[in-house]
Amino acid sequence: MAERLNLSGDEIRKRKSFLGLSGEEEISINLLRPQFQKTVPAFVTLLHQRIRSFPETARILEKAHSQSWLHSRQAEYFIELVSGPYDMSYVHNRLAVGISHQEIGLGPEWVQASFGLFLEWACRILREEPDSPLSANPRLADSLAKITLFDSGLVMDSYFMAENERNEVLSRIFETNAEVVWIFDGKWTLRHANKTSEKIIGWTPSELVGKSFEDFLVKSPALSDHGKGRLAEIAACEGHWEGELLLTHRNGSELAVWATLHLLDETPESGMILEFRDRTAEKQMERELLQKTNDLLRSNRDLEQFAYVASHDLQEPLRMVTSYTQLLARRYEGRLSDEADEFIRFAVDGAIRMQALINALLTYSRVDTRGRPLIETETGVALDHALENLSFAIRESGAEIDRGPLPRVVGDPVQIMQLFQNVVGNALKFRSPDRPPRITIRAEKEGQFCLFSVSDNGIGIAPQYFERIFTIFQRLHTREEYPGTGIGLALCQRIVERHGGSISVRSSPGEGATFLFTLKPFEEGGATNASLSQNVSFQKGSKP
Amino acid sequence: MTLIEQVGRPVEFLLVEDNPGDVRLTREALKDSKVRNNLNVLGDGISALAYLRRDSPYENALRPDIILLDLNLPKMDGREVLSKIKADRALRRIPVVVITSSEAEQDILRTYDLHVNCYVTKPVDLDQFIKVVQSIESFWLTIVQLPMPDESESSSRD
Repeated sequence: MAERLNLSGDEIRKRKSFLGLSGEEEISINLLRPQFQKTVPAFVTLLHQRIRSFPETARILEKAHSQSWLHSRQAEYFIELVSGPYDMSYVHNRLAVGISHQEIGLGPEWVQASFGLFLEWACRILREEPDSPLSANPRLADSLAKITLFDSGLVMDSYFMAENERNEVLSRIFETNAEVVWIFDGKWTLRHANKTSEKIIGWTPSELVGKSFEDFLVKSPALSDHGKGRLAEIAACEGHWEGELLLTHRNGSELAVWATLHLLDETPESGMILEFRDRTAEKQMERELLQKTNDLLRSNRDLEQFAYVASHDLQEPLRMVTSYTQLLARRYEGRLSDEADEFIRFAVDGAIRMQALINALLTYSRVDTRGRPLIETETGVALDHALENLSFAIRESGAEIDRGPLPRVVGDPVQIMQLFQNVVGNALKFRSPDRPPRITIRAEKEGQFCLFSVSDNGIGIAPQYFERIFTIFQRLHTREEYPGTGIGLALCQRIVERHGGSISVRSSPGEGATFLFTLKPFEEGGATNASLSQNVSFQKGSKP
Repeated sequence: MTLIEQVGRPVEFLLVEDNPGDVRLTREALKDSKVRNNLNVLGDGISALAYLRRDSPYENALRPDIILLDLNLPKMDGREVLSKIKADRALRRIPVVVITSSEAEQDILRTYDLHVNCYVTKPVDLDQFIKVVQSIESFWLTIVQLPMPDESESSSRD
């Protein structure tokens, strides 16, 4: 405690010599001890009477746990005053007393007055008592006064220690605040500025003090030319003002800051606190984000444009190739050589496949651009439709479909149907030659999602291909083995991702495969629900 | 009365199409038709309108019984031709079939908003293409009831 107050041995010696308290006096003061032991309790009674005569201090005294304990403790305290030596352990002891007084709520002014009362009382007693040591040694009265002053100084120190510590913490917060803090007087002259100022606006606190806000303010975009007076008006009206300001940096550049202005008191005349932080980095990020958003929008538009080009301009010449090779085949097949027939077949086949690829690409690119709003979707119904579309393949392969209860999700019903159709369609297509397909479809809650699984007993997939199968146009088999464009699972992935979920596969060759995907469950009255209806009504409103 | 019953002459087709490949395919498809027909072809929107309005050099053009219209045409595109036909009292009752390679939803919507009679996407497959053209022909010529051209319409004929 003494350390926190900077009360070193040196400091104590300095205080004593300042009061003129000599080592001899410290010893001789002990002569008063026997007398005080007899009379001090009567003084404490007197003191308590005085304390009780003021309502605010009387309350504090009444709150004390034990009156008699307090009485004897205080008597001891005054006796200790004449029980030197006054070394560091004495100092610690006295500081503790100050703190305990502070804790019970007795203010320093009352303690100070008690010391005064004590001194007055002690001098009177010592003069009046017939066998007083004072008669033999009159200088003891001076010594007592010095000791009492020394002691009250220590008690005052302990009182102000807590206050000092609090101020120190506040000032540290002020100086090291990540925001610049400027305190102005009523005329917008800077009175205090923290160290952060230098980092942000280039000026040190000492350079800033005395300057006017005008020297830094370029403008306030939100307030156009109303100026700083308006800021203070708003702060007075609404308790504070918050907004963007454009200030001048020491190096002459403009500095965009986000600022808050509070009044120190009720009116701007009493002064204001302005806090601000640099928004340059934030603004840069905002600009970059905007740029990226625009890039993304443009790339989406490009994709849509591409889809249109693919659907129209690219199909046109391709259709010519297909139609005329077909016409060629129809008119001349069997009339030319076998070789010519083969050439024609390759040409027709190639053109038809290219058409299928373009259509696949179109479907893929339309997942986002042609997607319907996400609404409450019965996945069971979507699966019904998918199975209906696959009914021929199911009958033909003798497949057995085992389905569990399926939940309602937030989705695009058409795309969910496409998703099931592709995954179940794959299970039928990549069936084992040895056994009829058996397909198990399940769904369970997993965290915030519904986890769907579609398992089959087909030919399976080697782990090294797990990623490849979700890439557009990537195929694991020749067209002769399994026909197809290689779009199915890429489309599934795109659909699941549009719905905020993910898709993966578990399998080993010959053991069948399990496709797992997550979708968001539909929750009645949930937050998703509210955003959904907004989405739907927006869609309705935007329809032509 | 269906169109076939109304007319004792070959059915007049107007095909507005700039792709000679498609013109030829349409011709191939109509060649096998059971109905006697006469296929007139124009390669751009401006001449198609001139033909329909019998502007020079089409003073002797016959009023078509059905119009097959592509959307993407030079000079004036099919949408504009369509809107002009449908805004013209003398022409708007002639059934217009848009036959195009575009599957774009905005094309379909816009074309119906312009009062097309039907919108057909050209199939890639030759057999399908022939089937589509023949279906158009049989539907519009032998199934659908169409009004007789009235006085005002036929008066513009002379």
